[in-house]
Amino acid sequence: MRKFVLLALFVGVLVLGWAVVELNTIFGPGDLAYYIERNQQFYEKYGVRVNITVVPYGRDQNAKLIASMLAGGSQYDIFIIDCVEVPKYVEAGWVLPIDEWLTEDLKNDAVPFALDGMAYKGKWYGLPWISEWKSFVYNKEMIKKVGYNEFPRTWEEVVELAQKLQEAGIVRYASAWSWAQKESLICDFVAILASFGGKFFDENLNPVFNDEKGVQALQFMVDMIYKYKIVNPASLGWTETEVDKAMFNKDIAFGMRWGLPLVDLDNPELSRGVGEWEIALMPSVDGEHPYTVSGPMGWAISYGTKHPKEAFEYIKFLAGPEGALDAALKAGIVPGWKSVWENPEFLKTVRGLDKMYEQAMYVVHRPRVPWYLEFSSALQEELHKALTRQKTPKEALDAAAEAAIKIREEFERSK
Amino acid sequence: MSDRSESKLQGFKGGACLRPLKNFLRKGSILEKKKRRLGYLLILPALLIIFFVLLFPLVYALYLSFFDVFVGRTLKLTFVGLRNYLEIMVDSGWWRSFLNTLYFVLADIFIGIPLGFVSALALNRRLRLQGLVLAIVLLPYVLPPIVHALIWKWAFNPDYGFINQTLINLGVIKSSVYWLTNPKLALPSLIVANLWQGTAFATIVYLGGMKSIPSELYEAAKIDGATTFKSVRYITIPLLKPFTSLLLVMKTILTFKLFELVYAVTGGGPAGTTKVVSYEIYKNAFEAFKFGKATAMSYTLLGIVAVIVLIYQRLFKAEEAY
Amino acid sequence: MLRNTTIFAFIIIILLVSGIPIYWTFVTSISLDRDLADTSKVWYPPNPTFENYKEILGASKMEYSVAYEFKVTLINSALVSLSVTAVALFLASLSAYSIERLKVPLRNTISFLVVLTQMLPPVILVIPIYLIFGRMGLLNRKLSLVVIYTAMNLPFAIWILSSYFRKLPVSVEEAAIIDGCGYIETLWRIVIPLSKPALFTAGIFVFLASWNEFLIALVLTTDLKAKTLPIAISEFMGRYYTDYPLMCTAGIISMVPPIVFASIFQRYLVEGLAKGAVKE
Repeated sequence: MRKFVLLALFVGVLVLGWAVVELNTIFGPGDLAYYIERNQQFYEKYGVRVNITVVPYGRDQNAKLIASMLAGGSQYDIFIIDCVEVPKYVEAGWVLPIDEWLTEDLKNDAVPFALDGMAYKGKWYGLPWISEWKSFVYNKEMIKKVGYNEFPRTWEEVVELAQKLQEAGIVRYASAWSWAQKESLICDFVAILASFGGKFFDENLNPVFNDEKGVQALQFMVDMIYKYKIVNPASLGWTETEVDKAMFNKDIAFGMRWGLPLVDLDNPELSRGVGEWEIALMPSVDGEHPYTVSGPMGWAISYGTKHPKEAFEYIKFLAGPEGALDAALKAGIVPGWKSVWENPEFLKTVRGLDKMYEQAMYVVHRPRVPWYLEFSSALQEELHKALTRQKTPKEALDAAAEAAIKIREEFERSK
Repeated sequence: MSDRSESKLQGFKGGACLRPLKNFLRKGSILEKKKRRLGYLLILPALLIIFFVLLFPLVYALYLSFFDVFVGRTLKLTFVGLRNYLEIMVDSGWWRSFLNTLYFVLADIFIGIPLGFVSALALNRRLRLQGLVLAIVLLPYVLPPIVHALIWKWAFNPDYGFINQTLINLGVIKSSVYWLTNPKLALPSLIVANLWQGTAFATIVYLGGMKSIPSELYEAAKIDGATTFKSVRYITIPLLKPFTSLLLVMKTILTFKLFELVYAVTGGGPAGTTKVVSYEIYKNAFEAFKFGKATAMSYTLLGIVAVIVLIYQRLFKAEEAY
Repeated sequence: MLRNTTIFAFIIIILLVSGIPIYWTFVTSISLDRDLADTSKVWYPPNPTFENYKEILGASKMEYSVAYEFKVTLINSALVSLSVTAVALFLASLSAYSIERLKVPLRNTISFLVVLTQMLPPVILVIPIYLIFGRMGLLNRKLSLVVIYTAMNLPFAIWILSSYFRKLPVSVEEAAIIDGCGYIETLWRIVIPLSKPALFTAGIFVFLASWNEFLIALVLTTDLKAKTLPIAISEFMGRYYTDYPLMCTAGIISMVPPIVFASIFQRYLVEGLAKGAVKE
C-alpha cells in the first residue's frame, strides 16, 4: 500500500513536472490571433504551454530585455531579435547558440541572408522569421506614359526617366525616401551604398564607407534632391510611413517598401493605384550591383531558460520551413526558407512574389557590430548634415568614420 | 531647554487663550513637541513610500554614474571616477542638446505662461457652455504624448499637412514650407507644438487660481474707481503668485524632460538641430547600453535644474520680503 | 461694448488654437488611410468611416484582439490613475499640513525631493525599480504601479499644496483650534476646503502623469493584468508603418477619461468655492 502511494506520488510528480513546462515569449504586436492558434496546436502536440508578452516595436523591447536579463534571464525563454541586435545581444551573453540543433538540411534550406542575419562570429543564434528586405517598386502606368516598358537598371537612366516624368507633369517629384534622421535613413543609405559597390567596414572593423564609393553614393543622394530635383525634399523628415502615403496617393513614381510590398499597394482601402505597381530590381551605378537592404528577424532563446530543448522545439515548430510556410500562407509573414519561396501555393498568394524573390539574392545587412545602434545614430546625424548641405559628403562621412572608431574603442574598453 | 519649555507652559496656563496662537506655540514648548510629533506622524507615510520606492534607484543611479557599465548577464562595473561627467562637460553634442532643450524651456516660460495667464483672464467669466469651453481648453493637455507627437508631425507635413494647405489657401505662402526639414525652422516648429500643450496647462492652473480670488476684492476696487488693468495689476497678479511660481518650477522641470516630440517626430533631425537632452539619455541607456554615461547625464541635468529652481525660490522669497 | 467684442474674439481664438489640432486628430481618426492626403485640402474626409471606433469599442472577438486589449488597458489605466490621485492627494495634504502648520522642518527637503524625483528620467530609474519589485515578486501588478507612481508624484503634490497652505490666512485655523478642534479636524474642515484650487492643480497633474506614464509601465507589466493604455497605444505602431487613423482613434478615446475626471473634479471644487462668493 505504502509503495503504491509512493509510486502514485512519483508518477504524479512526473506528470505535474511535465505539465508545468511553460515557455514565455516576447515579441512585437501584430498577428496575435495567428500566434495563439499556433501555440494551441503546439500545446496539443507537445503538451507545452506558451505564453505571450507583447511589446511595442521600436527599441522598447531593449528596456524589457535588459531588466529581465539582469534578473537571471528566465522571465522570457524566447524572444524575437532583429538582425542589427544579434551582435549586441550575443556579446552581452543573452542568447543561446542553436548550432547543436541546426541540421545541415535546415542550413541548406535557409535563404542565405536570412540565416546569416542570425549568425555572429561563426555561430547561429536564431531561426529566421519575418525575413524582410526593402523592395524597389515603381508605377508601371506612369512610366509607360513616357515610353518605358521596363524599369531601368542604372541610376543614370533612372535620373533621366525621373526628369521625363516630371517634365511631362505626371508627378511633381518622381521619388521620395525615408531620409528622416532615424534608422530608416541608414537602411536607405546601406542600399544605395551597396548599389555603388561600397562597403561599411573591413575585416578589422575599420570604416571604409568614407572611401570614393561611399562619397559617390552620398553625393548621389544629395544630387537627387538638389541637382536633379527628383526627390521630394520633404523626404528629409519622412520615414517609411510618409513615403508609403506618397505611393498610395500616386504622388511618386518609384520608391522602396518593406515586406510584401504589393499587398498594401493593391489594397483599395489604402491605395489609389491598385494593380499599377510592380517590383523591379534595385537600380545601381552600373546595373551590376542591384543591392538592397535587409531587415530580417529571428526567434532566439534566452541564456536563462530552464527548458532550452523545448524552446528550440517551439521555434522550429513555429519558424522552421513547415511553420514558416504556414505563417506565410495564413499571416503573410515573409519566409526565410528557399523551400517556401519555391512553394507554388505560396507563390500564388500574392502577385509578383517571383519578381520579389529575385532581389533576395542581392541583399546586404546593416553593419553587424555590437555597437551598431550607437554608430547608427552618429551616422544618421552626419548623413543629414550632408543632405542638408551643411557639410560635403566627404566631410560628413569622414566625421562618421571617426565617430565609428571612437565608439568601437569605447565598446572594447568597457567590455 | 526643558526649563524654558516649562516656563512657556506656565505662560500658557496663565490665560494665554487671548493671545494669538503663534505666541504660545513657540519652538521648544511641550505642546510644540507634541504638535511636531503629530506632524512627523502625518508626513511619515508619504516619506516611507517615497523612500521605499525611490531611495535605492536614486542612489544606485548616482553610484552608476561613476562607473563604466557593461550590460551583460550582470552589470560589469569599472570605476572611472568623474570621467563620465568630464566627458559630458566637453561633449559639444551634449551641450547642443542642452541648449536646444533650454530653448523649449524659455519659450514655455516667456511665452507659454504669460499666454496662459491672458487666456485664463479672458476665460474667467460667466460663459455660456462654460463646461464645453473648459473642456476644449483642457484638450491639448490630455492628448496622449505619442498621439500629440504624431498629429503635429502630420500637421507639419509639407505636402499633406493642414498647416501648409491652410497657409496656401489663405495666400500667406506660395509653395510648401519645409517646417521639419529646414534646419532653421525645425526647432521653432517643435517649440510651437510643445507650446500648444504647455499653454493649455498654464491656462488651467491660472483659471483654478483665479476662482479662488474672492470677487469682493474686485468689487471693492471697482468702487474705488480702479480700471480693469489696475485690478489685474494689483489684485490678480499678486494673489496668483503662488501659482506663477508653481508654473515656473513645473514647466522648467517638465520641459527639460521633453522626449516624445523629438523621439517620434524628428529623431533629432534635421542634422541634429532638434536633439534634446532626454532623448540623448534614452539613446545612451537603451540603444548604447551606456548606463554610466546616461546616469551621469541625468545627474548633470539634475544639478543644473536644481540651481535654476533655487534661483526661482530666491527670487520669489526676495520679492515676498520686500 | 467694444471691449466685450474683443474679449469674445480672443476667446474664439483660444478655442480655435486649442481645438483645431484636436479636430484634426478626430478627422484623421474617421478618414480612410488613402484619403489622408486630400483631407487637409477640404478639412473633411471624403469618405468618413467609424470603423476604427467600432473596432476598438465594439464587442471583442477574442482575448487578444485590439478591441479587448484597448478596453482592458483603459480600465487598468483609469484604476491606477484614480488610485494614485486619491492616495497622493490624501498623503500630500497630511504632509503639507505637517510642514506648514505643525512646523516639521522638511520644507527644503521636499523641494529637494521634487527636483530629484521629477528631474531624473525614468530611463535610469526603471531598471533598479524592476529589480526591487522583481525580487519581491511584485511585477505585473497594478498595485505596484500605484505605489511607484504615488512615490514619484508625491513630492510634487506636497510641494504644490504646501506652497498654497503657506498663503492661507492662519486666523481661521487658530480660531478653530482655540474652539477645541484637533489639528486633523482643522485640516479636514478648514484648510482642505480653502485649498481647492491647489488640490485641483495637483490632482490633474498627478492623474495625467500616471495616465501617460510609459516606460515604467512598459518594463514592469507583461500582460493585460496590469498593462496600461500608453503601452497599448504604442502597440498600434507597426514596425515600419504607422496606422494614423487607428492611432488617432485611440488618442481621441483616451482623452475622454481625463476630461471627464477633470470636469467632475473641477465642478465639485469650483462650485464649493464659488458658493456665496460670486454675485453678478
